[in-house]
Amino acid sequence: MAHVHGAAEHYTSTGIHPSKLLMWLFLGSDCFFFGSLIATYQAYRGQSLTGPHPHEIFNIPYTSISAFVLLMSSLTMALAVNSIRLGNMPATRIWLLLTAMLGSIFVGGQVFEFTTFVHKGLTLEVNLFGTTFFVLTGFHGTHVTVGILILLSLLFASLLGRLTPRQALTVEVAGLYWHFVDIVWVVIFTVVYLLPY
Amino acid sequence: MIPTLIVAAIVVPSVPAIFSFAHPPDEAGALRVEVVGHQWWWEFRYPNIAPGRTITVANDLRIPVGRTVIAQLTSADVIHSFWVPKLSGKVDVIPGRQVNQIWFNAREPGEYYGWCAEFCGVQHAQMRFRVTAVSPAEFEAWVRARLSPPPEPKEGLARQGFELFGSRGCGGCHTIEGTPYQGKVGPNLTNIGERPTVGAGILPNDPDGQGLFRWIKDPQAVKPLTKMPTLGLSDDDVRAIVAYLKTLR
Amino acid sequence: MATLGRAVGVTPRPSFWAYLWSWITTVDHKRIGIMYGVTTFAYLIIGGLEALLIRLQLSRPENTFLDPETYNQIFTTHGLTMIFLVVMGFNGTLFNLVVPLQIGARDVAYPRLNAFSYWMFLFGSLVLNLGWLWGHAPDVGWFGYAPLTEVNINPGLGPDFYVMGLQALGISSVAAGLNFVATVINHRAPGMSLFRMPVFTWMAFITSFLMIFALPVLAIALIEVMFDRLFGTNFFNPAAGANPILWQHLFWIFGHPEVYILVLPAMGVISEVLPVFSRKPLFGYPFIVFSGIFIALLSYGVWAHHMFATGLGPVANTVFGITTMLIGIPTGVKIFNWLATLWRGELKLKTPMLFALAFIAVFTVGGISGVMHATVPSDYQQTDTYFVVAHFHYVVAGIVFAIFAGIYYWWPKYTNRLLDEGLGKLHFWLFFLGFNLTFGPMHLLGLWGMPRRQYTYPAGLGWDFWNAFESASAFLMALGTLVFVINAVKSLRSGAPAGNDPWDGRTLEWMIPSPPPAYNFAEIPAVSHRDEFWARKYGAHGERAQAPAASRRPLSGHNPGDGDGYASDNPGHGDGHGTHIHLPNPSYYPLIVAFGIALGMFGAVMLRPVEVGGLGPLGWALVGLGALITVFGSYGWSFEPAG
Repeated sequence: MAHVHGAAEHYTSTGIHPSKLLMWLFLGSDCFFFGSLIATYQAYRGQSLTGPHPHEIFNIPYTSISAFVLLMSSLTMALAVNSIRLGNMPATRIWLLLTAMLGSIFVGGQVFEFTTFVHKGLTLEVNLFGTTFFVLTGFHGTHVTVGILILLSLLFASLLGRLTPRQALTVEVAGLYWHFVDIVWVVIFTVVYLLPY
Repeated sequence: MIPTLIVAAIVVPSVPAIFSFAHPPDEAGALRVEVVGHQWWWEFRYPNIAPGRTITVANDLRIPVGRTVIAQLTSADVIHSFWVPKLSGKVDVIPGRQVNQIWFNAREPGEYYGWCAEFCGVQHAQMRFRVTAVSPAEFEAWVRARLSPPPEPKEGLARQGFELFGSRGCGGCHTIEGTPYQGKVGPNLTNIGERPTVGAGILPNDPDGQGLFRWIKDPQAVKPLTKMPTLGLSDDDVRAIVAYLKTLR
Repeated sequence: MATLGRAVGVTPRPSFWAYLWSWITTVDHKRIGIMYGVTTFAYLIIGGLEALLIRLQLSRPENTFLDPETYNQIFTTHGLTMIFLVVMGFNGTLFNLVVPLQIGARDVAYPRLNAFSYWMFLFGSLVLNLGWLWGHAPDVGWFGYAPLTEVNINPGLGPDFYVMGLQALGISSVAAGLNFVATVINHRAPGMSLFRMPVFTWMAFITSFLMIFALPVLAIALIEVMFDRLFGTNFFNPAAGANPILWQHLFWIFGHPEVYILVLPAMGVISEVLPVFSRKPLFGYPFIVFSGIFIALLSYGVWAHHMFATGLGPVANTVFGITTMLIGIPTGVKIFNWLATLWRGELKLKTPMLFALAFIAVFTVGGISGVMHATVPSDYQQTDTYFVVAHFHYVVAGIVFAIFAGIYYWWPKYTNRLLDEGLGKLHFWLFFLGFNLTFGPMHLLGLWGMPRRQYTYPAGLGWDFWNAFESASAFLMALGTLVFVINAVKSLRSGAPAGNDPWDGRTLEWMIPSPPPAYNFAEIPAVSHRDEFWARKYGAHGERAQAPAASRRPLSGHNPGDGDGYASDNPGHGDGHGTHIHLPNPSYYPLIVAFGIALGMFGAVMLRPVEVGGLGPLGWALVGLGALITVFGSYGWSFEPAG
């Protein structure tokens, strides 16, 4: 991504690069975003007047596998950041591609999982569980999808020669976002799926 | 330091008041009522006032002087707030699972103004009520009177009104005990004749029947967008219905 | 238009369209600040007219000037306009006009993001108000309690415009918050440690954190209402077992930090004006800064004081009553330090100072009624009456005093004109008098039992006189504002030239020419003191009796009154002397992305059925188009050449 600066381009009072700072702050605000959704889920936990209920719907082994896939994508993301710092562009592209693919497998897995839930009668409207579950995980899935688009854009830019080791920071900042999205999933998985109903 | 002390001096004595607001004294001897907020009127019920019997009224809550009244508050639609300034602070009236509780005790007989104190839509401003506090003896007499249905008028204008109440559709929304009229949409009108106000605390229920007339003739003019439609009744019809309603006491 | 152009240092352009384009594509914080300012002022007038309509309806009992549907829309939009468009708009104005100058920077950290924040603000304000055209402006009160916003209770478009308008405005605020935190952290002049920053910048900094960490909670609450209305979810549906109180919790967890977002910058303005017009440093600078930080942190712990009557139970009420009392303490600390600043100062009672002093008085009154509200048993009677209306107008409308103090104070910097002192004082007294006569009696009415948000009240309860009195007094405030408008126009046309430093200021913005050149500072100053400019003029301990003549001229060597060519829109070349100053290129992508988002939001409103004024499924076309424009704009933005 291109940066636009004034004359104090290379001077920052703290030494933290502005775009990294910006991403950290944005992720902080996103914490409140997901925090509110998770709080809503928790407020209505066990309050649904009708079924289906979580224990009738969840397939923990299946979801564990997709969580693992997303976790692995954080590893490949870290490897991508590492590669570009070392100046190895071909490796960077591979790791970026792998991260995007693992992310897509996660999202695809969710789509499949949610379709199953709907067939079992869990919809947005049917009860409080359906409402809070789908909105929470839906927004998470949207965040992952946006991340995938960012990664593919970086990959594409690299193929066009527009992403070079000088833009390592850009990949690192994208990596921050990706790791955040993964951590949010760890929290959701624990709170929603794993904690006893 | 000083601000902290000032603040402490204010807060500490207030804490017991917070708790006593939440915990009614003399629960055993209290009168228990139920309040249901509707857009834009108040339903009051006296559950088990006599074994197996519940009295339902609207917009006028009759209570005995000097006795704790404990009210359970719920709403049929949106959030309202039950407020009788001279008797107590306010407590919100919430739809759904949360049932709030308020208690109060009228030391003096009289008519106390009540308000809805949470914005609840178009006619929030005209969703009022009265709490009428009477002596314990008068209260007992009132309860006894309410437990038997009012007599059905046999002749005259009131009889006409009784029949029009059905043929004009009023019974579809309103309940009058002991009659075929058992509508559940609008306020229970069984004792409308003796209530101090009409239309949820906004028009006086004067002896001449002007208030009732005005309300029944064109409720939309008095309280625009209220749920009671203006039926286009003739003046004669309205006068007959008013005559009938006046007998309900 | 040309006069304003000259006033802000733009040489008249050959073509009106080129001039307009330069504003549309600007990324200069000074121009963005001016745009915020003009928009904000327009909404001040609109919000004020809405208030006058309210007062006209309430001037008599059982009045029929406004029907209840219209009244409910007017009081709702009055609140939304004043809070989200006027006070927050003014924050945007001052953060942009003042903060970069005060820290010795050339611009903010992300100039295009800055422009985006403005356009999002403008478009968001339009989405919020578009409902008027459908006869369905928001009518649920500014805090829209569920289930009043549920689609079965309120099928019209009002709540949809409410939700999507606020959502758009929230995006603007978060973007601005991110930008200003990054700016203050990274773009301070060398030597300007955090504790040498001017207090206004500190308050802007703290407020920016609050915006980042409060608006997302509102975003979720709004999303939940939107989903209930559009997709049949059950977030606030009592029939499915939901508790509508959840909305109140989410809203006020945002809402209470929000009121500190509103007031902290205002307090920052006061902390700038008092020292300059007392010719004394701010007393207790560290206390003022730390109290601001403490207020911001504690603001997340008091939200349920808006909910004392909702049945949370005595334990919760007690806890929140205590935390609410606690938050009054740092505010008290600020007030004491301000008073100490005035003590034995050489007071210059110019118009900015009058407004600043009035703010302290008015905010203190509001603070006292606030302490009464924090006393829970009292609140059971006071809440939802005119007593709380009085309280929040004394504190929030009290902010308007700080707004005017800021306008009068920084006006000369940006226009190189002074505002007339005589008219300024007339404005002040009309407004101060009108304010107290309008809102003072509301305390009484509340204690006499008059509930709030009621389009009419019965005669014969003893309320009639004071309501009429308040309504008449409100017109004094309107008159005062009119005097200000006259003053502003007169100043722009023929006001006395101000020069760089008309007030003998203390902070860096007064070092540079009025209006500031495109690049702000020819050379970024090295800072070694708090109140750096004052120290340069009078010595670090005021040992020089008078500012040396040389330092009264701007550093760049220009004479006051020269309009500098606004070179910011020519790529690459500033009017720098010696240093080749590189300024950011203008860009149209911020406008495009903002437009795309706003169009998508509007499209979401239009998803509602045709019977209520929407487009039904056709709304998806608008949503999709908005999304496409957003994505296209974002790619353009990301890959734009740096210049």
